[in-house]
Amino acid sequence: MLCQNCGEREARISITQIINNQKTEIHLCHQCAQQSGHTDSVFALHKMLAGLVDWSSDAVSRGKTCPKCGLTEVELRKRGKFGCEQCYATWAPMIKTILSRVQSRTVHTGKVPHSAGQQVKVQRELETLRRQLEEAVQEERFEDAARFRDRIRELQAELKGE
Amino acid sequence: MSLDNFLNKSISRWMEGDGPHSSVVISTRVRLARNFGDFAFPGQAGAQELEKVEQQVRRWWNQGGLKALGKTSSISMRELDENQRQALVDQHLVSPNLARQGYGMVLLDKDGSVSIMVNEEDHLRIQTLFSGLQLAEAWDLASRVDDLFDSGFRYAWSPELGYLTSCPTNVGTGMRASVMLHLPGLAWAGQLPIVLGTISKVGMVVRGLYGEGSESQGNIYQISNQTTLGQSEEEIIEALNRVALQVIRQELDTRQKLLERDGVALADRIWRAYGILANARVITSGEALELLSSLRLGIDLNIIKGLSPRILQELLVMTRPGYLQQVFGRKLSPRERDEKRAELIRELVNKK
Repeated sequence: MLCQNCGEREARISITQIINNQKTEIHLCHQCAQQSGHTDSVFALHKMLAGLVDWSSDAVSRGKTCPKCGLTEVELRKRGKFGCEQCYATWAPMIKTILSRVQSRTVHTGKVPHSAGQQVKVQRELETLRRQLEEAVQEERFEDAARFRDRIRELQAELKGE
Repeated sequence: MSLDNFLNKSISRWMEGDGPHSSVVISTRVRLARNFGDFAFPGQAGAQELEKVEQQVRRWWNQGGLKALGKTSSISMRELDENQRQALVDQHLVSPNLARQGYGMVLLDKDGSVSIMVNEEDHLRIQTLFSGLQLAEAWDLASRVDDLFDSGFRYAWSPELGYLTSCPTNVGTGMRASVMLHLPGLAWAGQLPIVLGTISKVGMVVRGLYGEGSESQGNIYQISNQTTLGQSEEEIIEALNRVALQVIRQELDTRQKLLERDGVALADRIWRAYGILANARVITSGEALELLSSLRLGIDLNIIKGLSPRILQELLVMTRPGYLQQVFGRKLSPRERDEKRAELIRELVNKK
């Protein structure tokens, strides 16, 4: 069998990767396997992604082109990589499907950049506080609950003030 | 530090090998993928747009964008020849992809703890590299570097999906945290398949040193988080740290057991490795790695005295083809490389 990356040399190394119970195998020559060290790129993700979505059945986005960067769906399928921030809106339904298969969850709960604005940060904190408030009430920790409630009011006032 | 220093010496901070748990953990790495909202991602951008991104980053850097990190250098990949690029790859400061594609740039701090690749798969790949197990420290520094860029550029980010990346497997935190572990004990005891199998069941990915899963690559394995969306950075770091600590404990226990069960056989294997490394005239990188793994275990178990444990990571880098060619200043044939490699190893091993 020939190496699936370069297509030139004999494949000598097989790599099996399991992501969310989806098993993928790739066969590489020594050279390509060595070059892939310290990156995850040679693990031909684009080839795997193509298999994750039933493209032809997604009539809504078939034949679409991203209005901002000009990426076409044909190219997207080939490369498995998006072209700009707008692509994520252009192919929103399909992205959901992909993410549900390659990621553990589909909503970001990590870092918020300053450039996204203070508002997102406050909203994020509000969500956390509401959850904490609910827990506190259920567990009858009323002092904590009052503290969370006051903080929620403060933040809501802050949001309105902006 | 000047470019020459980076290319001619292996003095990146991570290679010192003095971090916590360094008898098992060689290095810790955190990488953040970031893109600018106003430009197409590198894979889709044309030559002009790529150049514009580099210009903007360079201007920002010239105006002191990374001043908080002390002295930093900016290197355009176009200015480097093939050997110089490969030498940066060998020191884990740039990816093989960036070296291969021929465009893009890298920003480095003075001791190689921070490297920022520009126009690789994403506009920015912020990487921090520490010796030993220092996940929280590596994340903290990466996040601070991220904040610096954040105040100068508008990131591609959405409240629902987080940081938007070229590849959907990086979306969310854009973070890949990894630890590089040296596991000769588990390998010799035949326990690796069990341990590594368990790790992949708890949401982590295991790779060999150069991607493949063979044991002959110096018993060095990388463990990293599999997914980037749905957990906070701190949660990911915490989970990986827990897994790493468990593997460290198992590795150390197994080393002790091997010693107790048949210490002479273990010492024999280690001293044979030492004998070859100290005397060989021609050695391939595969053989060198395997023997260096034994040598390093011998140093860790105090069977071999007088050699620094960091000999493993130093030689890991110094015996790579790109690095050898950089040191000897010219292109070497495979046979010449095997000779020069043996020469370098003899020099270091016999220094004690």
